[in-house]
Amino acid sequence: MASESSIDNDKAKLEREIEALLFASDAPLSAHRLASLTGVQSPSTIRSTIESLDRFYREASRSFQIVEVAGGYQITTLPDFSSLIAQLFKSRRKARLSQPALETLAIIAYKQPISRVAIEAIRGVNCDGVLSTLMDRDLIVISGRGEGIGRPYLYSTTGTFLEYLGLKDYRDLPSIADLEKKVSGIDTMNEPPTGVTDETSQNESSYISDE
Amino acid sequence: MTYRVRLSQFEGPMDLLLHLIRRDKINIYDIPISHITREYLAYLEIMKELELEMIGEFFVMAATLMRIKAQMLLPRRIEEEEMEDPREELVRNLIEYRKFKEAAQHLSEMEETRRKVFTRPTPNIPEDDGTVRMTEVTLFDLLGAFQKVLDELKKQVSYRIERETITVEEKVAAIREMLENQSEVLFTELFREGFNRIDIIVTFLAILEMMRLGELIARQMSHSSDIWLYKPGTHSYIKAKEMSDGIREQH
Repeated sequence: MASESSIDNDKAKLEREIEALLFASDAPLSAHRLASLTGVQSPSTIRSTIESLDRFYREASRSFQIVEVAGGYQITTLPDFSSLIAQLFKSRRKARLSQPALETLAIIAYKQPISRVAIEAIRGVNCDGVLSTLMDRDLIVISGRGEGIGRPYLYSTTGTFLEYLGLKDYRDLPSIADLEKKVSGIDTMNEPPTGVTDETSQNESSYISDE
Repeated sequence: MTYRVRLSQFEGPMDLLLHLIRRDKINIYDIPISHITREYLAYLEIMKELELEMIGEFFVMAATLMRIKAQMLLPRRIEEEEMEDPREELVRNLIEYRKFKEAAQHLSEMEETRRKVFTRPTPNIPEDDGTVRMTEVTLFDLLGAFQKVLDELKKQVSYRIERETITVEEKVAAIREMLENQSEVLFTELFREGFNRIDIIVTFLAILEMMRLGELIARQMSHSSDIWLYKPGTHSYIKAKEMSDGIREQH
């Protein structure tokens, strides 16, 4: 009996310690880091403790949760309170990323490390401004230099990138194959042009039929 | 004054092409190049009329389309059968770009989801921008520390012989040189033994001047503890880096 309750005590103590660390931290903490801070042997004990802590929040209908993000754990408020809290931070919230910024970020995320020239080849436009915006927001860093003329800077995404999008790790991104499947779905919907007649269409289709 | 919309903030030539392909239900693998060139140029005209600030890449693409169109119209000979379709590179680029546009859409959705939750804010760590940040050390803290140095001087039994007095400018230069070799220095360290009253005052004024210029940052753990002086961008940089390395250790 006595030993059982001391096990319970240890478990409760660990829960509270992890809770305190996650509450105080401004960045996600990895299971590994939490284990070394609390003096627990295995990160798996940390994981199961966090699961039971998060379950407790849910069962007690608290306004926050523990999420797995950027290779670690983090306490966040529940999405239900987003508009309420947004009022509190009205003037202090960061702007959403622009379309060019998102595109550039996507290219870097999938092709890192990648040079500016290679990004611009895909987007077909100059990316200087967008790259510096992304650097200012810590979403990307210069991670090295490439081969070739001028040894261009190479860009990679950061841990902040994962955190910003709420990703556990890179496997959380849709795979390239899925993206290809999704966009080629558009092609099958687009039947060869029927309404569009063109003076060169005769000539053009011959390129295909000649095969 | 005309209000100019900067188009590059929204769309580029690839977006315009993809828009036309979608709008006219064109098979991307068999683009009717004359049609698409005509439509593309028509859009360029509208954009010019609206005085939208257009990036050069729009015209580069127009030239590319016209080049492909010309190549398509050239009569081909048998031996050229195996030649690449002039449209092939463009199609490859469009497909590649469309894939990342799709990926960007995913990122945007993830951004939106994540924006609904809030995390603990970043603690106030001085940033690496070289401005004066007396977040923890007030002018009164500095004056208090200065008073202590003066009190120490009074306790000294003997005074050294008066030397030639140093100016504030010279002292600033001396501290600057000192901070070249070490990133931080204890406030009291700058008031070495053997200083007379004038030396102490000049040194203190030099510290204030450097803080005003943003060349020095003063920090202390608590209001009664020692004051440390840092060159901006050294201490804060290392501190901030330690914090971020914490999360990145996984990657």
